[in-house]
Amino acid sequence: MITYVCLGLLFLFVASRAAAYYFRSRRALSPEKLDQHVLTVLQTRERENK
Amino acid sequence: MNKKIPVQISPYIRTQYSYEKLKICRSCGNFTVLGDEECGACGKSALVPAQERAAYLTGRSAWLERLLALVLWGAGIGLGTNDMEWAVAGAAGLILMVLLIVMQNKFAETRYRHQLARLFKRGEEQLVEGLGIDHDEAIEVFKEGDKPLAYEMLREVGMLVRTDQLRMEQILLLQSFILRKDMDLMLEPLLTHRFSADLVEYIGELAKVRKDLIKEKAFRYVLVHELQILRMEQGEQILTRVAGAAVRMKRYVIMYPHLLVRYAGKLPKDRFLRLCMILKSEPARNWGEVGIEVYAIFNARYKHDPEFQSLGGMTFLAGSTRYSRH
Repeated sequence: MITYVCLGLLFLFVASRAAAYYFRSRRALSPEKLDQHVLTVLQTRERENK
Repeated sequence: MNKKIPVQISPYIRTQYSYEKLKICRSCGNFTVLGDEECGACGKSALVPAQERAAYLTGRSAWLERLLALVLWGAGIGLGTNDMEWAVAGAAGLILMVLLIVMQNKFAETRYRHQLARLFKRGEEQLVEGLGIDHDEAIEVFKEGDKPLAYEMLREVGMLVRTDQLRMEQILLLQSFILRKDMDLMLEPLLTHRFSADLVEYIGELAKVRKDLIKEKAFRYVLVHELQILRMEQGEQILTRVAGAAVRMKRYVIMYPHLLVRYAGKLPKDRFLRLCMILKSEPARNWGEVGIEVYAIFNARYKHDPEFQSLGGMTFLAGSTRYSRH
């Protein structure tokens, strides 16, 4: 019986990882947007520091 | 006037994205762009490129997930009490393990990008602080008297922190060097939002040694601040040099006719000849005011010059009007 519980947990774990990967892939920033984000952070903070 | 010094500047290594230059300290999470081995914040030799760090963290999390799955699979088999349970646990666990690994590989690229974004988002404070430390280090090097190194350091920081202050610091250093054609110079990243006489002088120097660096943004900057430039001691000379750089390409002659109309008369002979050749390359075009101005200068000064004879008297410009037909 415990075997099936472990298998169930393994199934849930793999399913949760698959779902997380899928949603992260949809939200992942493109390299261009990431570059823009880094530049924006630096410009904004620089202005705030002045 | 300050005496200019001869210097050697290392070429700038360009990357597709600015963040590719960033390194992160594995110990304190501070960012730097100066590529030293030692972290400027904690002093430990733990700097790695941010991308390498993101790839490592992505790989580590994948292995941790595999390990957890393996433990559950192993527990399923180990806690089985009969052949049926062992067989089911073995087969189902194998399928789920393979599925997990296939999913990890399929989404490897987006997992990596997600990790990299998380690294930057979580480390915003360290990013700003780290580049502030880099800037301070560059100033320190400048105070010690190593101007070329200070410029190289400011150039690295300036590609990420795009403020007028950093641009001005770089321009002032560049203005203390003797600029040469073989130097890896740049202009567009140094264009400030406000008028700067030092920047204009730098543009004037570049127009002598690296005309190819003067492009659309520089022409626009010069045109926007033309009146202020004319008030400078060498202002008109600089504008003439910039106009000379504009005749490098036909596109610029078409885009910035007003610059050429105003300074064509002061262009040196070789640049004026180049302008005439550009106009002659498309004789059917109505060159508008540029055509009128060039034709007048040609007739007044170069009509009998042997170097201009191949242009056939520029007669195609005789019918130029003020209104361009494109």
